Amino acid sequence: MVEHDDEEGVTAEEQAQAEALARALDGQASSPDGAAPADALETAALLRYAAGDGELDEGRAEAVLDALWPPGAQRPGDPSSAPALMRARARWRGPALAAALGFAAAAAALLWSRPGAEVAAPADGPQLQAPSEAATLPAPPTELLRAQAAAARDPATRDALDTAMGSYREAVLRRLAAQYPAHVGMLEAPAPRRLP
Amino acid sequence: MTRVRHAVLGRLAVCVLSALCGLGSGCSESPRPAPIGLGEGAEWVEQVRSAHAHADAALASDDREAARSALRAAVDATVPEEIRPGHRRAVQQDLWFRLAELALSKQQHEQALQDVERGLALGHAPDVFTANLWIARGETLQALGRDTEAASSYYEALTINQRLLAELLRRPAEPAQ
Repeated sequence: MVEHDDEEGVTAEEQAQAEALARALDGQASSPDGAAPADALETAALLRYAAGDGELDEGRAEAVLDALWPPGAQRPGDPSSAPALMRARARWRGPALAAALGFAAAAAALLWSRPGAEVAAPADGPQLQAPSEAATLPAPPTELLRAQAAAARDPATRDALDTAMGSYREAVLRRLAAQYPAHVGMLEAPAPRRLP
Repeated sequence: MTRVRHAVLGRLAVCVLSALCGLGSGCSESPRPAPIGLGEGAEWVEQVRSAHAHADAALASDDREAARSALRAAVDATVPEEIRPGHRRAVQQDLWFRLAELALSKQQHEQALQDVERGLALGHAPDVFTANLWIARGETLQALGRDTEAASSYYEALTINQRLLAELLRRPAEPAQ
């Protein structure tokens, strides 16, 4: 896993991945070496759909992938190279379609909401936490977000999420340890003070 | 009334005498109890970190019960008041997520659902921890054959995930080292 700076900013690799996603969002091909990750492309397809700039169906996704990799080339994350994964995907197709419909509605709502606004909590649920407190925790790295998106689409990829969470968890606990420092305790009580 | 006045004056006198002793009038000064070692918040964080480490070690030797015990002890531990609510929620949601995943791995779906719901009851935030619980909820409900509810949970997770990704894109790049 790439070392992620949990203070401010993003690493160079994260920036490159973000730029790849931005290019995909613009409908452009990735860099000449075709290094755009498939997950970024899928995410881009979803985002473009949410913006009314595309359609969320297999044909659309295939078109996006075809635009970035030549026909016949092995795509990163291509399920055809993993029959077991393919079977797993087929098993989840029904629920995934339902989830995609829900996701599209949520994405539209997200685009209409102002940046930084909290996600609406269920009426009977607890209130959202203040963003200022969330901001005191390290930002999740790209790898984690990618693994999380994959796990939400295909539970068979949960191991990657667990791995990514392990690193992020460490970073969070380190940050908290810094925010709640140990007292500089007195190991021995001072001698009673008396007047001369 | 007079008795009350005397009592007040008496207490005032004690206070004045105590203050004079404190200024060094010959009284010995009993040291204030000082915190020794970690502060309560730091202790709690360390306890959580240790629980995760124990769980990792237990899982490495396929001892899921030991892993569950370690995580459960951490989530049940009293949280010091100095811990901010958002931090408490995040840390405890992460523990509930791991507990739910453990239950799922043992096909204990009802237990997993309980763990997830207890985690989500702590609050909903647009962060990784809440999103993970939605994913675990989706997996659990799907295993229970409640596909529509599962889909709804996945969509909650993806909504948060997308938002975090958008925030990542908006963040300024680090200057080249």
